[in-house]
Amino acid sequence: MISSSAEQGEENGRHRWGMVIDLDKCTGCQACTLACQMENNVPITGPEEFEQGRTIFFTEVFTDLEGEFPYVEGVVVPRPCLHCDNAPCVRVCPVGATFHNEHGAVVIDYDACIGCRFCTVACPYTARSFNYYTPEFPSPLDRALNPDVPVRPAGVAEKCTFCFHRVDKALARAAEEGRELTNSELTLLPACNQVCPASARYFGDLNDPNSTVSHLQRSPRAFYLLEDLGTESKVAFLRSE
Amino acid sequence: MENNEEKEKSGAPDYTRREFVALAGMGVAVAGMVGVIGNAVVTNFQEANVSYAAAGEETWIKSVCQICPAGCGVNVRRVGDNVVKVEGNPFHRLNHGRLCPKAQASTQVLYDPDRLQGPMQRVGERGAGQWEPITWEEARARVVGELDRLRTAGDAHTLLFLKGHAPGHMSHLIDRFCQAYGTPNVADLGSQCTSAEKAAHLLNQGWYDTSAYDWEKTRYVIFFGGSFLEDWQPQVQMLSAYSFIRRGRPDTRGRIIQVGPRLSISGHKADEWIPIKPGMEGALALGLAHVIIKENQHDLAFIDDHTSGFEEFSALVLEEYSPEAVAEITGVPAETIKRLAREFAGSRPAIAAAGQGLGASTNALFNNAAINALNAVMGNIDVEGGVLKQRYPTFTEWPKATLPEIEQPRLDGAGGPAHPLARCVYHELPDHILNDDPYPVNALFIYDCNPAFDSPGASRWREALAKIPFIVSFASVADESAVYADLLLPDHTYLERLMDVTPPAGMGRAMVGLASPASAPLYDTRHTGDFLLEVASDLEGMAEALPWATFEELVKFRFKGVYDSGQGSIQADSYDEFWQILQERGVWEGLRYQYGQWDEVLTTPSGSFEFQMEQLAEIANNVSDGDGEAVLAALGIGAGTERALLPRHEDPVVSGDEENYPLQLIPYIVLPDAANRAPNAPALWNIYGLLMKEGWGNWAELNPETAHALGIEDEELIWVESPEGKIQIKARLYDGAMPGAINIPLGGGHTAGGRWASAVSGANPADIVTPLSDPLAGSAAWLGTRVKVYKAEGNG
Amino acid sequence: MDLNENAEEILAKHDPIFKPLRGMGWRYWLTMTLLLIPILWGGYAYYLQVSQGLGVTGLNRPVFWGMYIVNFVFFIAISYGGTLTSAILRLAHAEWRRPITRLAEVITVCALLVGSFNVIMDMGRPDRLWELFAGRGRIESPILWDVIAVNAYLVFSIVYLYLPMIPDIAFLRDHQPGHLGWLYRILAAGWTGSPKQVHRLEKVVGGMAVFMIPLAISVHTVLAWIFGMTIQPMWHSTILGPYFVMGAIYSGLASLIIAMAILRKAMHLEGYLKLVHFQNFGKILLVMTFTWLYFTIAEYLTTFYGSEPAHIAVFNAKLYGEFAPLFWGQVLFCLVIPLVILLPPRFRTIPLLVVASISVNIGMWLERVMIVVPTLTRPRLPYGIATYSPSFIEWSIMLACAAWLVFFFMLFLRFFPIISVWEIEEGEALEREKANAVPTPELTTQTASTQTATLTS
Repeated sequence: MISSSAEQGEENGRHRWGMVIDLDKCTGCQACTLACQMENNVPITGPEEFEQGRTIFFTEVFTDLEGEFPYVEGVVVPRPCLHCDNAPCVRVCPVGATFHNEHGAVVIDYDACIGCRFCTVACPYTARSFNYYTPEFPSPLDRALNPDVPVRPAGVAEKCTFCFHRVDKALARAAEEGRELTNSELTLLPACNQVCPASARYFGDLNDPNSTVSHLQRSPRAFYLLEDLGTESKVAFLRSE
Repeated sequence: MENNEEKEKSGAPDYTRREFVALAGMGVAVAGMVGVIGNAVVTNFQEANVSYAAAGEETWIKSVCQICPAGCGVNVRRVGDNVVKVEGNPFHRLNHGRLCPKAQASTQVLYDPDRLQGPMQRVGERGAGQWEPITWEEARARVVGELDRLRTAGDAHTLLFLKGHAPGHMSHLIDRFCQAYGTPNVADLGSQCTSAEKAAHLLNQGWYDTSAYDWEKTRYVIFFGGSFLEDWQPQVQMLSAYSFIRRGRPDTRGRIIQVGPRLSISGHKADEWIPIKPGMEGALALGLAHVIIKENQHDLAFIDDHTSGFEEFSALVLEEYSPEAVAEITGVPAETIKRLAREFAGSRPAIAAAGQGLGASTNALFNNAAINALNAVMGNIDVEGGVLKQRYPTFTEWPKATLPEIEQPRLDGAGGPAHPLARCVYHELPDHILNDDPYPVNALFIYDCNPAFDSPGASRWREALAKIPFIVSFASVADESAVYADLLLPDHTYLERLMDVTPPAGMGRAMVGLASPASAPLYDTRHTGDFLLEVASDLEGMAEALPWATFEELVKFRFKGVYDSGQGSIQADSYDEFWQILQERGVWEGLRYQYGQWDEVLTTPSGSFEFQMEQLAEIANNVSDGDGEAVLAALGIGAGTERALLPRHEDPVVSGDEENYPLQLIPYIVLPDAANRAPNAPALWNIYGLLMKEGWGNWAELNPETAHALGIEDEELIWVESPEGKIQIKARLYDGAMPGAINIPLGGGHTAGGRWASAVSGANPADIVTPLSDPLAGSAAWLGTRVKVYKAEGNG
Repeated sequence: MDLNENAEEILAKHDPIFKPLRGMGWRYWLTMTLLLIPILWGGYAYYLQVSQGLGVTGLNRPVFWGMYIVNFVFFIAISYGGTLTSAILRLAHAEWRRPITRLAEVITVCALLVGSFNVIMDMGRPDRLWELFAGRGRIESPILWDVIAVNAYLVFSIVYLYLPMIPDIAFLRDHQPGHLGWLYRILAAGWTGSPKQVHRLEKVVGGMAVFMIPLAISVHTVLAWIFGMTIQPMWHSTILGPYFVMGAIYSGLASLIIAMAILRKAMHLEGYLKLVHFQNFGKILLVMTFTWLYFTIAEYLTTFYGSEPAHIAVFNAKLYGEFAPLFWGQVLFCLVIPLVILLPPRFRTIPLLVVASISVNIGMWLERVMIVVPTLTRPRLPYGIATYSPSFIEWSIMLACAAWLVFFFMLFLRFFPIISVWEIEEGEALEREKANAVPTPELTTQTASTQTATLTS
């Protein structure tokens, strides 16, 4: 049940954005988590919100530790929204407020969302968040708001957008210059990718079989989270070895 | 009519009017409620807000992040007057356009709502928190008055200037200011960080610095102590290096071993974690050396050409540090020692790296020397993929000036018999201050550090601060130390000021970043560099040494030397052009690292890597007017014995006896808080405790078996008590904690510093760390305290 | 069946039904006033939520759904006691349903209203409620199915309640209008009681009864599919639809029993709501208890046997983890107590049946909690175990909803007869006809012997 708009994207020769995260390079520094929050005007919250589990992260690092001392194994995985082609969240939205944009990224129309949170419970990756409060940016922190990204009100869902605002801007600029964006330019478009000190994240066009992301997604090290669920996530991970 | 008759017939009472009233009343109540709710629904909800304060032209300014000492280049995005994002500066080679999470929080530092907005002076009792605003003229007059008074009374040396990790020329300026003023008492945070490593390099190679490394070509790394992905300096370089070691070369996936007392994120990402008790790292290094030498894997060429004292060293190692003996000392199995040694020797180039500062015990110097020796044994020094000596830019020479003779020794005894190799011993200052030993402190300037919070035995610092009669704090937010100040003279935050930042030893090649102001100052704050220069100009005789009106002038003066060298990444026809390019790019870097410049790499008197640290004897003699042996003996170093000058394992001194204090306290650093000058940035607290899924406060990790033996459950509140004092904190069970240890991350337990810093829960482990030191290097033994742990009854 | 003929008689005979319509006692008004307290308090609580955002609840990430959704399901389930019961009983020609159908249908309407309140209050943007209806609604979404089904069910239930009320309203219009005569006149819609009208009415109601059953089943099935259509562990279960329907019948029936018992006592309806009614429902309830047991075993055994980690995590949370008290409480209230009371026939007294029914309702509320919350506390990715603890806002609103349910019901009582007089009369008339048609004992023997004679000849 690939969304018709995602299929359209493939047919029209439009881009189909995807991401690859190399877990062998990732250091668990969480720079991606912060860069995204700063880029996307994610609300500032404090310890009470954190205790209650309402801090909003678009991309976040999760860890899983197993074993007993001294044979303890751990994985460290940064997880953005996986922008699934077969997205459970898109399917269940009663008002179509979340949908695939023309490039296959799953985005949210904040002015249509009714806050039912069906999408947030439908996502098997728990990648979506909800605005339980009206965001506050105590002055003068509101001066640091990114003018390219709306500030969401209380009562709507939000999540990683593949920084489509930066992508669109770059595409427009490249179009003006009469050229395509290169792989290395594309990779740095999402804020998380741009900041990663380990250069562990890649971004690009899955419709282009020669793009870095297409190439890496064919790697023998590549895997998808919870692949068996059939979400057709567009974010692949490269396992450590 | 009919109705009433019927009612009378059936005897039913008539409620109609009352009913009507009741029904109407209910209807009104309900309708009113619906109306209020409806109104709230209609008025409370907003559309997504797409237009607000930041409007205007987009510009980009190059600056350098100063939230930790690494100095990553940043590219600051401004829209109109507002700084909206801090991204990496692609020109700066140290971080090549990338950043760690701390830099991302820069906007939360600049726009921190709890910033001090201008100079203030204390009214009322110290610690009462009552301040009144003053002008900068008044502040300057007061400071000048105070300093003048002290100097006239012959007490210039009683000024203590804590300069923290002051960046670039702020550090130089403070040094020169103090020199020109007449006090020897400048202290940075080195003793809490890297003093031992630096002192070891001084003895082994002749220069007092940490090493740079060529990570990109190395094939094998052993980290002894610390957590290289969390507490390294410079961190971002290490993060990139890790990635490169793993995946940067198509034919090689470098191997990484983490030796240490705790399974950190670095331990998870390493190929192997070797649990080891604190203070035993040197023994392990010597055990590896033993196997390598015994099996003839050592680099004869390098040893012959560039080292001295190898025979003595190998004799010691072969005799006393067999794998079995080392297994006894360290707890690492002999087979593992042999295997690691063979891997290390067989994977050249390889690097043995000492974990940064915090993994230090009282035997830190010898531990570091042992690790250096291991590198020397394998010829890893100054080769591709090995250990390098950091180069620095050549700044203009300081102008000639008559500087006062300072007769008094340093307050902290650095460079004296107590700590011959130390440059400063920050963490021991409280004891000297409290005891007026060797003299009282009459004035204290606090810049870029927070002794009441960040030092071992922080409680002693708080006592000491209470005693000093005149304290000036330059902090931007009123932190735990500022509480004790008489004057609050807030510096600009880094985005508002000009600063140069030289990264700590990192890549080898010289580099320096220039931070240009990315925002006009928000408030009536002042660049501390400017302020000090103004004060100097008011004090007689200092202007000659500090002939600049502003900090910028000073920096420009000094950078001319870089331009004059004609080398490096900025080629310009004039100094003005040079400066302009420097501002545009935000960084200057020198030539690519030149290997084999032995006259720079090995600057010991013998010009060789000294396995046997001859300088130690000489330095000991110097500090004691010839009685070096007594000095060494007093320091517990086997004076007179043959092997006194060789790196070896000595059991660390630990405060608290094993019986009463059964657990070893292991404070550690997590990346979001490492050397963090931004404790009031809420974004960093959200990510503070990744492994334990915690945030906004710290905890104490216990091995599950250890915990159960004490009857402690996960998330229970406990007391952790050392001979210094006790703290109450939440216990977390963690299989990455060694039995018999309790690990507590630094950062929790703030009581000041802004609304978010104050909201952080937990407790400050620094409060209960005894400020022991490595006697030679004067480095703080963060891991030198034992504690007892018990449930906090009636709590939580 | 023309009640007008014996109006006086009817009024006197069914005095317990007609008396309240002339005026309620002080107890009624006191109860109504007391009910207003939690209702207004709940309104204030919701006002706080609207002003401050859903953060005033105990919800978080990943437990995005909690009390409101639990109560949404719970109250909608209560509606099953009504229309489903009365429709099925009507179609089955079970004559003993006559005194019960109307009050059951009123429960349905009230429960549907209150259930819908809950889901509206769960919305982050209730100001956009209209979007769901005004063409923006996406038919692919189970929530839309729910919106359509619940609304259709509500509309049709109102109609299904109203239509059989017409003859009684007409009677009131003619013989006991009081101050509400104008209302009765409008609602009676010109009913004269002519055979043609009667026939038409019976036909429509009968037809609706057939249609209401699949409609009602579809309502709770699509409610289940809000969970079932996701891929979350222990939600994505094929049995969830039938499970919800069965559970709804179970708790709906229990609620009906409670309502009947209270009405019987409070309004002296012993003549109508007889022990046999309760016992009949008691037997059906017992059947439902076993049905509940069967479905529960089917659900949990398959989960346990499959041992898929994500599912077992939720399973363990329910049976052994922090939800164990609630889960085993659910078993106690849904299974143990009802069995103990309902199995032995001599325990099927009205008070004990009420106890069993209350137990069933408590247990079924716990079951809804068990369905909604544990799955959300165990996300598939290792973020750690989440917790959920409802805030006082959510409890206040739950209390208010319960109060609303009773309030609506009692409002109905004041204005309309809670028992369908004309249907009772119709039923008695039918019985008399049957009695007349049945031969007298002597006649029977004669006929039999005659027949025997005929047969043997």
